[in-house]
Amino acid sequence: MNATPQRRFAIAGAGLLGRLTAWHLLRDGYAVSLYDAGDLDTPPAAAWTAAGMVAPLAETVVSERSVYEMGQMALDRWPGWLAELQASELWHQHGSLVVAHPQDGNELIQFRRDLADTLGEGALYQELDGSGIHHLEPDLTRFRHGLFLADEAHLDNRELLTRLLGAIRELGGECHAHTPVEVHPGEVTTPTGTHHFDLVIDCRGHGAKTNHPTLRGVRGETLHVTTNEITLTRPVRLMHPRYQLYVVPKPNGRFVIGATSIESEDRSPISLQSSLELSSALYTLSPAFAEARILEQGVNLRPAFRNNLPQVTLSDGLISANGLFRHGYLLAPAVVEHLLSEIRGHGDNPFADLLDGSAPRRPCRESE
Amino acid sequence: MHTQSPHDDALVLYEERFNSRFLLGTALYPSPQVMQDAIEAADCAMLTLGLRRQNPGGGNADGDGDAFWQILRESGCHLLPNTAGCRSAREAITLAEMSRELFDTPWIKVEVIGDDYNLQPDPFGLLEAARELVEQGFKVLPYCTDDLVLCQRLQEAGCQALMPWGAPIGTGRGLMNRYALRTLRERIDVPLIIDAGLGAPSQAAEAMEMGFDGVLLNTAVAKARRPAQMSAAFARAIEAGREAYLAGLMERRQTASPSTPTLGQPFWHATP
Amino acid sequence: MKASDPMHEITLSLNGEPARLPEGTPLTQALEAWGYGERRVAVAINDAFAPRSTWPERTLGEGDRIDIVAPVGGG
Repeated sequence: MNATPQRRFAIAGAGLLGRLTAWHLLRDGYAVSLYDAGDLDTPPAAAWTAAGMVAPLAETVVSERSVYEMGQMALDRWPGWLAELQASELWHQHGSLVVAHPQDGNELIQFRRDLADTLGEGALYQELDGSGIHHLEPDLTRFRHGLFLADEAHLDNRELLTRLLGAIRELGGECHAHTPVEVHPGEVTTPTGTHHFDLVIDCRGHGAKTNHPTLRGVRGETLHVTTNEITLTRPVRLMHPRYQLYVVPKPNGRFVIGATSIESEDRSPISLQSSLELSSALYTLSPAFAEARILEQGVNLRPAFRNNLPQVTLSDGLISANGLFRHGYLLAPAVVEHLLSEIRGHGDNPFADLLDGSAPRRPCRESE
Repeated sequence: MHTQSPHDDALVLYEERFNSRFLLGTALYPSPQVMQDAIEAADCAMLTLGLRRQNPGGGNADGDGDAFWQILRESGCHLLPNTAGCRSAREAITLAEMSRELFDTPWIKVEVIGDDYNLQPDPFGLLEAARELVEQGFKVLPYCTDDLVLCQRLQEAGCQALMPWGAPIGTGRGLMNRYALRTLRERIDVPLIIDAGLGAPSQAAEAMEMGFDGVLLNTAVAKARRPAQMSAAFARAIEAGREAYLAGLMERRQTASPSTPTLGQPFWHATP
Repeated sequence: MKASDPMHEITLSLNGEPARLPEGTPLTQALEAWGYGERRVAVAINDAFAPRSTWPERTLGEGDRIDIVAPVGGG
């Protein structure tokens, strides 16, 4: 395992991918320097803004089958990784619930059809009536029809990022906050100078835009509210023809409501319109949210390539992983396992055909 | 007998010829790549697009580099900007002027929304905006309801093509009011494009069979499970419907009449 | 007309958000300062279209409402 324990790695970007990769490599016995342009305790990473769902079924409906396949690895890996971090309590696998108001029943039918179309009729979900919903989530009283996706999970993502950072420091990882970098094969350039490494791993998300001409940011807005008038055990998605919203329960009566998806790289605060959409959809989920207090608005840019799927690009001395779009916690395990097997040079290399960005998956169009 | 194939049967709008009768929207696709594939499969006459407030820091620092714009430009398609989201003639006029400069085109799909719930066009604001924009030299394609008098007024205002709805935007309900649409087709002699509300290629074919000149849609393609395949399906349905219209549909009849002549067949007289 | 005083700041609205600028700033410079530089945008001031050709001459005043738009997918 530790054939070359002296290898030194630099990781640019201390978001979810950067932290997970650093943690694994440190445990392999390698030396790791982790750089981030922003703060490490309240990072500017999309992973900090995200709601932390691990929902392979629900997400494949808005993307494609490969997201489901990679997502299965997330369901498989997260419990073990969290146990190794002594953070098992951050993992909640109670399924997720998809509901629609009676007048939007067709949205549920469409969702079910899309699911069956992608995954076959054997897709694992359960249809619920009003009492079934009430049984799972006693505080949701307004819905007559819903779907229960029993395998899905969510995790307390901010606490996870904090624990990962703690583990990285404990294992002797060198952490550089507020240090924007430029990456080159075998080299990281910080404002104070250039440093040499055996390998540089670029996990900067949207921050790596200058290295990826086709990478773009997709604005997402969220609200964090708190209330003790309502309890949810699992993420709830509300299907609506205009707005699609999810609510994810967090510790201490906190809920994350997300998320808009706007083709813009604007990081300015949430717009009035978006906050109206998110909060009125939340209110229609249950009027018990009326007295909730708004604690925080979140805005961030999801890094995405044109097909909204992740890519890992390899060259001598530089590996870059990016484009996890809206699926950070769902796809990170697959991307990290792929990265690690490339770096270690052994082990089965999962999803190599899906993630390898060096060989384009579809031919480029010839210009006319 | 003269047969006209769809290939020498161009759609003519404001004296400009288009080889397709399919107008496609560019919103709601799951990814830019999927949109690009759907555009290629549609082989459409025009692509519609909109304008939205752009905050500083939004968009891409390299201006024209942004994925959406790049795909539209690469498609080589004619662009049809819209005034979606406008609630008054004034707003629509200003937005039309802005898009004329931004896209360097006199084409504009004028949309003035009167009701937020079903996104129904406001006929009064629409007529006012259309008058002013025609005056300013725009090639105005108004998104309107199927009301005959409104359509007549829009035509009088100088619109050389009209875009009545099939059903409210995004509903996929097809042609809701065939009587009104048939009346429009009989009474209005400028090109008519069914805009909005179509959910299935059969509905687009039906509109074309009724003699409409084209079809504009977005949601039915963008929200399909495989948008590129669906846009190809629409493209073929639109062509088929057009060809059927040119071929001349038979009238419906009450009494069955055999397509195979029975007289002269052996044993015909033996039937009790 | 009163000569503008560049030390004096005016408040205006940029896409609905308050923004401040030195009095008498030409629109071209204001757009530059707000980071629109080479972007593909069009501008309206107080609900009226402001053609690109007028930007260098156009100075912004107290309370002006500036709307800046860019292309987006649409149907």
